[in-house]
Amino acid sequence: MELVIDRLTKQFKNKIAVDRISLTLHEGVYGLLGPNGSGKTTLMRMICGVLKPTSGEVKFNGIDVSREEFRDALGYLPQDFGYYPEFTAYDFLLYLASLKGINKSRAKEKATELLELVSLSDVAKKKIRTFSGGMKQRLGIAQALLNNPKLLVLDEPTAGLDPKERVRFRNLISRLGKDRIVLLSTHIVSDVEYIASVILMMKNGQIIHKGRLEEIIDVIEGKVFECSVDSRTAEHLIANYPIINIREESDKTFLRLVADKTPCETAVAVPAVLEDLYMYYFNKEVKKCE
Amino acid sequence: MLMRNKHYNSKKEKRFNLEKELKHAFDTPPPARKEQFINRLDYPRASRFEFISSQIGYIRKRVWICSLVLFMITLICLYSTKASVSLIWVVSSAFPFISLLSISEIAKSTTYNMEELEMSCKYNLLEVSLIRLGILGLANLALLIGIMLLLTCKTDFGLDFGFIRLGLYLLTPYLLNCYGTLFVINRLQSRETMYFCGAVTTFVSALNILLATQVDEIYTEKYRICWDIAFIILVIFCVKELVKLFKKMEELQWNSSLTA
Repeated sequence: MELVIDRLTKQFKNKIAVDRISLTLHEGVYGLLGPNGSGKTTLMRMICGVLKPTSGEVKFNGIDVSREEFRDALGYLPQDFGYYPEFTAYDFLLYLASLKGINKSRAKEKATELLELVSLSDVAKKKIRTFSGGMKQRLGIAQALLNNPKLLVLDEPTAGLDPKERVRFRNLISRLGKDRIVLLSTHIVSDVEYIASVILMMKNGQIIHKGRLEEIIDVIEGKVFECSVDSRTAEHLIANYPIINIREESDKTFLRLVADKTPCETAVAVPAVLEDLYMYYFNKEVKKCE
Repeated sequence: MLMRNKHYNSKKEKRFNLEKELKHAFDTPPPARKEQFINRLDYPRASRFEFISSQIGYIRKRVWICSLVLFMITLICLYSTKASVSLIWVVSSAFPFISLLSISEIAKSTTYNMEELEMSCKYNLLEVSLIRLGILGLANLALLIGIMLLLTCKTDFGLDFGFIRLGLYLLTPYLLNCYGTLFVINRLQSRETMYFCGAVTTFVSALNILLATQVDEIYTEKYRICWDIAFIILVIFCVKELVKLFKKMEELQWNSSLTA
């Protein structure tokens, strides 16, 4: 099983959203991490054949993205999707099962099974318009699994899920990743940290890092510091370094930050986690967004 | 005989006991890679015919109900009132609303933000739309032929105009509305698009009524050439807009959110 992305590029007018990305993915969970506007959704849409690339190609087991056989092997959860107002959760799954070419009796079985899996069995016959954001998201996850896809592409799958559902979802994805390619995008670092076997970091339409968690964290090892400082020093540090965590203590301010060298006398180097790396790379973007 | 039965039963019992003993003696090994094995199995596929027929069920009931209502109204008008030429403009002014319903079925993926999901399915948005368009086109054609047959059988329109000319009078406003609504759909992309299409339909219908009531002899030989030209031009324009619409369905249209 192999998904080959070859020099994939997408240009919207004068903005290059995805810039010559080449990747080869095999069975496993791949976490695409990047800030808003880094090109994650555009890349995923091209992988699913929803957007045509400006140049480059996508092939799954040698089958081109434009072919029906490719879509037959694909499960896709878009970042934002709608539904027909008259649909119940069950109708929604049956409808998409029909578009996925599943026969009626199998579709009914599969819809019931998946509604159970995403804990929506009790509201299966309720109109989707009465659902909360989290329920709608779970329904979206269910539809992506209808055809037992070999390639599963999930754009921001944990958005709107409560912590309990999030943990359940992570476990489900880890199981699914054993014998298929799962590509999920998020800007929630902990999701990727827990479930992705390979992390892809995206910035300005390019993959800037690819590897296992411990490999990519290596870049920042020894550059993460923690310190408790007075308010004046805290202000100075906040203004000059990527801050990962701030906690107000009785008379001091606790800071966790990323710096190339010791930022102040009291700072102690601590083991790095993925969030530190994220802040290290995307601090400028985060500040821009703020 | 009794002895033989007894012997057979004890043999059966021994075998059963042996099986039971064996089950106790050996633990069944847990299934290895069961899930992976199940995942490798293919799921039952629907044939193309099954897929096409399933799509009829996803066309909203209002399309069928409105078509039936129009047919019934024509039928009632023919039997309860004295048929006059005014029946042509009444029916032809109602036809644009039938086309609006059909077009709304094609555009509903965009209206309800389902296009991205539908584009990624095995039978994608383009195929689904072509199938729906085929089904709705056939249904509209059946309605048109049904009404034309009613009009020619129950009135003198058949003798006065001929079947084709009658079709021309009924179809031209329908085509004008198809063109107008397709033009709107191809250029606007929002949930409100259908309201604009509704406005176009009302305008076309009103225009038809206005022309038919204000222009004397509009359904006579004098204006035949105008009808012929309008019909041909509208067919060409409709085909052009349909091609544009299908091209749009091949990929998600650009908007600012796509760069996110």
